Amino acid sequence: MGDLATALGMLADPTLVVAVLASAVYGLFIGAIPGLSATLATALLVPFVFFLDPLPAIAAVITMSAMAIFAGDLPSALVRMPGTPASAAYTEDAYLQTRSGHGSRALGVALLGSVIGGIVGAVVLMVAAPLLAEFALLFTSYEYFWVAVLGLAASVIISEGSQVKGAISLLIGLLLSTVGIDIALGYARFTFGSVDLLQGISFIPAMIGLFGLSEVLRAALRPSGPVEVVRLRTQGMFRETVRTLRRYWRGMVSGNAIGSVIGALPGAGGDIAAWVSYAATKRASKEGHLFGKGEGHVEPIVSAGSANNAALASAYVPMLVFGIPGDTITAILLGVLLVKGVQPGPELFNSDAPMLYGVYLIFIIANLLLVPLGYLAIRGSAWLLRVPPSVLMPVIVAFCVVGSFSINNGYLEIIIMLVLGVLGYLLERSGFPLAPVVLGLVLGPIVEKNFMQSVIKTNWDLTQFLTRPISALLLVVTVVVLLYPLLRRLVRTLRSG
Amino acid sequence: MTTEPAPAPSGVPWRHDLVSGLLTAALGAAVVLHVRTFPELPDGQPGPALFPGIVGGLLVLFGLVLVVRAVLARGEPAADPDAGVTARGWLRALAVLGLVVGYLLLAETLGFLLTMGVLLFLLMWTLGARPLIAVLAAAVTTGFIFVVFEELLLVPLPEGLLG
Repeated sequence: MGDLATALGMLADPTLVVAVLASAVYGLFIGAIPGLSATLATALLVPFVFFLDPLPAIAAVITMSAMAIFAGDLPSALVRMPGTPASAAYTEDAYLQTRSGHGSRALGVALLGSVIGGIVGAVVLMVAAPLLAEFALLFTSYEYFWVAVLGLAASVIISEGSQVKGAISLLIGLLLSTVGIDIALGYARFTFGSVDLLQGISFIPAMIGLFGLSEVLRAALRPSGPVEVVRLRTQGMFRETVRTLRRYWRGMVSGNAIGSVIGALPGAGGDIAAWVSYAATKRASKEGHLFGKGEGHVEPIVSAGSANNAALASAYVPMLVFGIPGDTITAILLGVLLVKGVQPGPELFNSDAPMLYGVYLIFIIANLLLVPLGYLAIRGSAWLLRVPPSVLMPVIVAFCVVGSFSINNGYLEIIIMLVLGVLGYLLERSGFPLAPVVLGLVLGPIVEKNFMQSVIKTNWDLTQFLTRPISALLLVVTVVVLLYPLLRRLVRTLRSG
Repeated sequence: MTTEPAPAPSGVPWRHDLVSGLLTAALGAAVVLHVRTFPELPDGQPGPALFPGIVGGLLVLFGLVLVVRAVLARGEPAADPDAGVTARGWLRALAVLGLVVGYLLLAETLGFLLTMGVLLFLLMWTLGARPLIAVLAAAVTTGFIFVVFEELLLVPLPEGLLG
């Protein structure tokens, strides 16, 4: 209990409180703007949290992302545009509900569903993370090599669209991660004579480019015309919302379960969780034929709307236990923590319990804070949506530029941001997912370091990677994950044949 | 069961995938050739070249897989990734990049306040904001960034002429 008290004391830090409140407002704002994702919000928040201690930095990112994922539902319901990709699955239903006069119920359900989903995801984190950490304490460099490889393999298999393209995205990230001094000999790789590149591709400017600048480019290419905002009546909203949630409690349970599992998989975040949950609810519901048509339906908002927030929290399970991020937001956060010298892993669970309790508490606090702030955002949503993109986009570009510069007070970081911004846009336009690029960039050095350490330690005895019990288990899991698409196809052919 | 049309393998035209695949394979080949100049470990074991070499080889492999799949998917319906993008759209995207490049070129001589203020105004104006709003928004944003980064976070923004 002493650790819990210490954690509470750490949370009373004024800097942390200010960081949490400011990032909450920021998250609601960015999340509510169509086309600006929670990942972009994280990338742009990083230059600020970079100057904070680890716990306030994590607190700011957790609070901001919980707010942003809920706020993404606002423009879904009001102007039929998802505020973040995590809301895209049920945008049609939310909008049709609003058009037929049930807008406040739809948003109320989205709000309370998000809060419950976030808290359930946090409970999953609190239960699963320490158990897995106990197991992970047995790991040596061999096992960490396999866990990182497993994370990379999973990110390819569950990437959206074609898996070949997912693999290429991952390889591009891995290649970028090899720029700079190498671990075995200190040899300068791919620096082309630049002294500044010896330290490698700076991670934070790379993220700001991939997710910040590239999203602005996409929005600039396809300007959205003036939007017509549907008016809402919020009287009696919470009473009706609670009644709806009780009626569709099954959807709530399945949404939370699906979200928690998918969030914990490396590379899959809230948007995939929402799509899977939507599909599962549609299959299970008696009223599934009404989804996305006519007046729309509130049930998918209950399930998918909570699934995306549950995924957000459970993505921290692999991130804290193995140092393998569960989604793009935790990938960025992990990059920041590594730069700050905090190495997440099982030791964290023994040596720094107050910090972990702090993280758990932040999840609960952030989601409770979402109730009043989310309600205010619903009331003020019409105003939020009237910010003209012609002003907002340049402001974001300005923050991309100055944010990248501030990491190292150098112009190379701005160039990295610019190049990766254009690359990110081109990749996504050609159907390549961006999440594996980030995972490759973060996990590349971990894979290489653990491999080289292992082989140099044993004078190139590669059998160690296969014969140690946990290594062998992880190897089998990796192979199964890689073969999963083939297995699934085989089962389908057998069934239909 | 209603018959839903099967989606194209990747949703983009096969020619795009063909080009992407060829570029990927070319990149991989260049990496594989380049890492052969890297030194080996003292005992002759592969060192710095091993990891990028594997990545390069896999890039060649998956690039060629993409090429083959693109050719096989020839003629299947696909969405044009540039649908709905007008000449004005390209201009706007270029203007966004223009702000970043312009800042890189001018900030050291003109300083942060002048460079960012003017470039922000120009970009807002290009994107369609009214001049008065653009002036005000550019000034407020530049001032806000200056206060937060220079004064609060102690980032030394370039001073230039005004310094």
